[in-house]
Amino acid sequence: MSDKFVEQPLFAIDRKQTTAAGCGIFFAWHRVELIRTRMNTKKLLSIALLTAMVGFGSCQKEPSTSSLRDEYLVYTAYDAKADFKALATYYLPDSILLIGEGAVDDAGNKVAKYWKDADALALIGTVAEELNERGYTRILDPAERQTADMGVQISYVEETTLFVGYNDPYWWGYYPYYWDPGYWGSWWGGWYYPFASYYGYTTGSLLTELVHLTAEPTADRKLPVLWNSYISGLLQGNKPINISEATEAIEQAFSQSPYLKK
Amino acid sequence: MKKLYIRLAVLAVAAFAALPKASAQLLPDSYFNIDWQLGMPASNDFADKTSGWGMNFEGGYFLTDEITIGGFISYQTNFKKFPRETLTLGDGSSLTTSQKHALFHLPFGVAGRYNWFKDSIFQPYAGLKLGASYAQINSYYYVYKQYENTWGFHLQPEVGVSIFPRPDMRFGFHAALYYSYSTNSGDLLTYHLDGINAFGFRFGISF
Repeated sequence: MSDKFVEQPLFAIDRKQTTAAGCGIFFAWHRVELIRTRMNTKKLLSIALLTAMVGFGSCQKEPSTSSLRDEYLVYTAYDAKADFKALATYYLPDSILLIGEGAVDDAGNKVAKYWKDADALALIGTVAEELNERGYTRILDPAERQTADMGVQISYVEETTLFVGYNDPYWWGYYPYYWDPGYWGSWWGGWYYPFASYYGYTTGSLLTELVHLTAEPTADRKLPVLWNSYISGLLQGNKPINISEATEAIEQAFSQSPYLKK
Repeated sequence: MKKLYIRLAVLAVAAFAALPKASAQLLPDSYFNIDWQLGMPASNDFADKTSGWGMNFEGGYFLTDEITIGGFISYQTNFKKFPRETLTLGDGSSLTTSQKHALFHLPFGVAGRYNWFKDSIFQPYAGLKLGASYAQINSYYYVYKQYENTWGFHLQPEVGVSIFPRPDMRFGFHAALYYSYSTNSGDLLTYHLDGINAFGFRFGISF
C-alpha cells in the first residue's frame, strides 16, 4: 500500500528545512509533568498522546548531505518520439550564456552576458566532440545557423537560483537576445518541451539543450526541445567552476543518452 | 572521570532508596517504558545500515498480574550511502548522482504482554505489538531530497525484562529484543521497498 506524495517535483529546489532539535515526546512529557496535578488522568493522557503524535513527525533523522554537495549531478531527458537518426547537422555557438544578473550596455539597457574564454571553449568543444562522434556534422558559419537540423544552446547559472517550469522558462523573458527562440529563426515564438522538465537551477549548473530547427512549425510557433542536460554541483565552496569535472560531466551526459546518435 | 561515574552511581542508588513507596507509579496497575532503540534492518536494500536513531514509547494496564494491554509508538531511521551511479528513470530520463537513503519508520498501535514475576526485581515478559505503520522513504542527492510516504500493517513480537531495584516502587530499567515486520511498500527513483523487516534492541526506563 502506498500513498504517493511528492511535495516538489524532481529537481525542484529543496530549501532544506532544518528540523528543530528534539522530539515531540519530550515536550509532551514535560507538559504532562507540569499539568498533571491539575487535570484528570483521561484528559492528561489524551493531551500526551495527541502531542506525541504531532511531535513524532519531527523525529526523523536526516543524513549529513555536505559530502553530496561536493559531487556533480547529471540529469538528461529527451523527447521519446524524436527520430535522432533523421537529423544530420547542428549549429553550436562559440559562447555560453551566463544566467545571472546579466550586463548593462552603454545605453543602460540590460543585455545578456556571455562566457567566451578558453574554459568556455573547452566545454563547448567537448559538446561538439560528443555530437561529432555520434555522427552529426557541425555547421560553423553563423549565417547558416538557421539551416541546421539542430541548434545547441549552452547556459551556465553563474550567480543566481531560478525556477524554471516547462513551457515557460523564466529567464527567457529578460534575456532577450541569445537564447530567445528568434535566434534560431524569426518564425519561432516560444519553446516547447515534449517531456517533463522542471528544474531548480542552482548556481554552478550547466544546461545544454538541443532544439529541433527543422521541425514543422506549429500554429503557436513553438520551437521543440529534443534533449536537455542539467549538470550541477560544478562549484565547490567559493572555487570557480571545475572545468575538469564539467568536462567529465558533459561526457557523462552523452554517455547516458545512447539514443542520441545518427 | 572514573570518580565522577562512581559518584553518579552512588547518587542514583541513594535516590532510589530515598523515594517514597510506590511514588514512581504514574497510574495504578500500569506500566510505562521510554526506550532508546537500535534497529538492524533485514532484507531491505533501500537503507540497510544498523542505526541507533530510534526510540520507543509504550504504556499499558495490568488486566491481571500476568497480562497487560496498552499502546505504543516508536520511530527509527536507518540509512544507506550509494556511490555515484546512473539511474534510468521510467520516463526516459537518466540521472547520475551519488545518494544517501533514509528510511524513517514510525509504527504505532496496540501492545500486549504476558509477564512473569510481577513483584520481583527481574520481571521478564513476552509481548506482541500490532498496529499501523507509517514510513517515509527518502533519497538525498546533491541539494535535493526526493521522498515518498507509505502506510502498512505492523507486527512485532518482543521479549524483554523490566528491572526494578526496588519492586515496590516500580521504577527501574527496561531491556528488550524484538523483531519488526511492516507491510509498507513503495517506489522511489529506481528503488523498490517491499516490506520492512528489522531486528532490534531497546534499553530504557520503566515505571
